[in-house]
Amino acid sequence: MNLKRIFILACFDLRHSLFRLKGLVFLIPFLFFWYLNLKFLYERGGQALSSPESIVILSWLYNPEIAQILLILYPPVLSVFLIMVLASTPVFAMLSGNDQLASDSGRQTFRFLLTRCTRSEIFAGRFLSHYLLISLSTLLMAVLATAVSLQNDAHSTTAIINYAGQVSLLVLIYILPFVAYMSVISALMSSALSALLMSASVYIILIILGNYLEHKSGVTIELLPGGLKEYLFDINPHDLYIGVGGLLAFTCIYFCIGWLVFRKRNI
Amino acid sequence: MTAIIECRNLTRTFGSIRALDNLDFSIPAQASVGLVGPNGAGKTTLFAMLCGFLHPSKGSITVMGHKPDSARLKGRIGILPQDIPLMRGISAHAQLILFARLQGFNKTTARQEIERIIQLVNIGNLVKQFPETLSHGQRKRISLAQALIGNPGLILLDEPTSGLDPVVANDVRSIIQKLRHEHSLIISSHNLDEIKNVCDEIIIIDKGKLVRHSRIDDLIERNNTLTILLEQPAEEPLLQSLKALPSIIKIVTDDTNPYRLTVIFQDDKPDQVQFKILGLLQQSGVGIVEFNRGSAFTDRVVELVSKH
Repeated sequence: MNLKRIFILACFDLRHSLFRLKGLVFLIPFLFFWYLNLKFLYERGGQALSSPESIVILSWLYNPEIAQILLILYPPVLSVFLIMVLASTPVFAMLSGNDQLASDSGRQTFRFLLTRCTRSEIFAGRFLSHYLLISLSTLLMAVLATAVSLQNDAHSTTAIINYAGQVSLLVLIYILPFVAYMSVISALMSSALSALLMSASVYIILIILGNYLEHKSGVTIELLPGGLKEYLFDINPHDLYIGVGGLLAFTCIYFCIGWLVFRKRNI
Repeated sequence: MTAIIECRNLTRTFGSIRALDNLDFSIPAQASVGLVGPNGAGKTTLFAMLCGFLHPSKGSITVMGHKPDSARLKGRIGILPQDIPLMRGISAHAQLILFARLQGFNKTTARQEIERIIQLVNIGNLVKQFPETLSHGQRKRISLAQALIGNPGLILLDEPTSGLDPVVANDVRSIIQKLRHEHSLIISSHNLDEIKNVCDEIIIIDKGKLVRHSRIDDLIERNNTLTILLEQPAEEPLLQSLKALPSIIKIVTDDTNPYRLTVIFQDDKPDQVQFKILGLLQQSGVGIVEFNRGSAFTDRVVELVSKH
């Protein structure tokens, strides 16, 4: 595998995604979503987020201990930002990653690339470009959220900056398995729209299946990386390692399945 | 001479359909080869396998000594695929630069190489546009341009002139004529005149099977056959006179086209035989529309395919 060619492919795809439908389908809702939420955090952040009402609402979503850690111990604006990223990443990954491979495979455009680079380089290049698209966009929002936090939260600047770094790192890791999940779906399908619909359908089926298996066996069974997000909130390092390890494991599994599908596919 | 392509028992199936069936042939380096066959014969499938787009169901295929999808072949094969679109929403120039960069050119040399290709294929006025805004013929010229980036050792052209207007088709033929002296070339086409003028060898396939692989000169028996198209049907006295000429072995008439004669002869000096036949036709007052050395290429190909 030639790393230079992967980098060339990823940069080309990333640069042109910004001005093409496949990039705009993701960027327009993403920017709109974060404009509304960052505006809300700017206007209502700080003390309002640390109020007992907010802690009760978050306790209902997760548990009281996590709610108190996120809204009192840590800067609440960044904590709410993290919660929103973790909740919205599956949707935005589907919007950004549906055309990783699908339409170019279906239209056979990859044939122009295949005489110049290997399938593995195309696969890795497209994975990288879509990961960069969603992660760089989210990091940009993290910078804005940090600025809002510095403005509104009562914590020290050092504490906010440190927590912002931790949140950014978690976000970067959390996005990985979703981009890999989309590479599996996109390698299977022949158009961006079909990949988008298929990814949403499979995701919902896996959620239902996971809940059913959990109900039947009484044991927590995570079929999707989204199930690991509670581990990421915890201040207990052991749980954090489990969460990060689980996300990386999901990434490896999805990436390998995606590659196996794409390797055998007639393109 | 070493083989640039070797196929051994090459078979490709799509479900129950055998697109290629035990193909066995090799092509020497620096050859220009025409790939001919009716629609659905397996030509495009063979091209796709030569480039590694499709994998064989059975048998083997090597290109320049490597498997078609080998990393060592990257950038060494240029292909003009049949009716495959370039990426939408990205200018042709940007895509050509990408292809050059992937072939190992740096930013500066990639621009220089693309400038050379633009001059060669004469697409200076097209490259700044998006592919979806170009006509079929214009897109084909851009596709031809990308196949020539970096002077690849082997160039595969799938129907290079189909859908082109006569002027552009002629330009493309001129480019191909130039290429044949510098590259190994395989051309798939239904235009048999094009194949005859450009290629040294021909591979005829039908229903996925090899019908014939030979030199074009051998196929049309250029050294002992003449094909004559007359202004009027040949009368019996004229045929008898022709048969009576020295060195003439056989006169073949075509029931479906009484204006056409095929003359088979055996002589060390074929030019002399031609002059004698021309003289006889002049004496008989029969006008000539066409006079070709060798049997009619199209007829030979059709004959081989229909006998198959």
